[in-house]
Amino acid sequence: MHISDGILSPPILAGGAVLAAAGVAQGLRKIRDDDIPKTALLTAAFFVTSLVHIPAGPTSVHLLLNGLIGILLGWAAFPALLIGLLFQSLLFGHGGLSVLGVHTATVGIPAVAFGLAWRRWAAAMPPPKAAGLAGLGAGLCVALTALFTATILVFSGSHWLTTAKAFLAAHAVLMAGEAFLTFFAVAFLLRVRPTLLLGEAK
Amino acid sequence: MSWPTPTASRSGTLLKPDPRALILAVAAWTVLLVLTPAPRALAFGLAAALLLAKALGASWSLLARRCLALNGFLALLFPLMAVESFALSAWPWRLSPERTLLFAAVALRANGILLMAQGLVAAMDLATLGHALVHLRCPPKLAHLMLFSARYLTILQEEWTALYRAARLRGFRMKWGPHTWRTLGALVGGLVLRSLDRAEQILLAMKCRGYQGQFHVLRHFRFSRADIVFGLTWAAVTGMVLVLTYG
Repeated sequence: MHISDGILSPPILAGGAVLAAAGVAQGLRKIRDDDIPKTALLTAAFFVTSLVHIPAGPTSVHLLLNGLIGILLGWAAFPALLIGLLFQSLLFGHGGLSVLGVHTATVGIPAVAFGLAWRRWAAAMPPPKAAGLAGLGAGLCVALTALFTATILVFSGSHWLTTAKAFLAAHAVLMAGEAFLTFFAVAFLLRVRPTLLLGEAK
Repeated sequence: MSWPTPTASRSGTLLKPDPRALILAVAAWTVLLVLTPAPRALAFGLAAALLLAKALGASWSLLARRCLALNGFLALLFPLMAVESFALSAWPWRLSPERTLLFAAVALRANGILLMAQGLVAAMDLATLGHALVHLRCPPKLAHLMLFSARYLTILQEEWTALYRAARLRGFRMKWGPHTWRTLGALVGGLVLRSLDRAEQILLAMKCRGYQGQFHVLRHFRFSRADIVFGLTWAAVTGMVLVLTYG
């Protein structure tokens, strides 16, 4: 679900771009040279999964997975999302160039905040609990992204109110799915390769 | 699945501007249209973007296909935005004239930006784009990340297809429900593992070749007469948009 070019007001676009730039700068600082292949391949992997469409009633939704991205990449989620969104815009015409900053910020801020928190809390938890927390957080990330987007839509003009409501409703559906999916994905990763998510200590 | 091809094959066109010039032009164009409220200036901008994309060799069918997603989205948005009120008491629902005009501006602006981006920047392959970004002083790490992920998109898409096909052979059908989420969770987990393993191999291979965090760019772009022609055309179009807005 993307907002296209032309809708949001210039101050909001500028604000989003500034936030995204700050996030990307911090993300790039945190990426060591040796992390570049890892980050890039996860970027490509999440780009691929964002093309998966799941039928939902008369329409279909595509995966966002920002909770899982945050867990796996931490701060590096910002540059990863920026690149993924740029590819979507150039290769498919989804989203737009002027909204790149806003999208990176609305998707990335919940992802990074939750991802960093999860890594701290999950280290002290048994795996099923850690996966449960990941699922809940992933649902929350989708909800926050939708809420941010709906809010900036309304701030761009009161005539977007109905659109904002429809946007929230569509994401409520996705939220539940992403929570389950992330729960199972994290449970799988914790079982198959525990050191991946929680470091060597566990 | 094969990846979308660039919107143009450059071989057939006379005008081959420097990729850096194209990127800067699209960036400035995006800012310009975002700040332009007047529908007639936006309409002119849309037409100019289409002609410029055409002059640079974009094919009609690909441009149309790329615009499809945007215009489908806009078609969905139109009633949501332009109807005055969805209250039952307001039946029959009516379109508000001001909002319809506002929506027209949105649609023209969105298509104008998309066409310019598709005609100019999407017409180059992602490797050229990343390369040009390096020369435009984009942070090197960001450009490397972009080049790397572009390089492995196809490969990871194939990995995903393999995982998905294996699930389908065991009877998996995608539909809304817990079973789908559970299976997709495992598939996404599998894709993550395969990506990380591959990344590890890539890093080792790169280190064997002396990688020290730098990515050397061998090809360089040169300013040519095509850039002057392109720059002047672009400046004329921009000037016209400004005149139509403020004149």
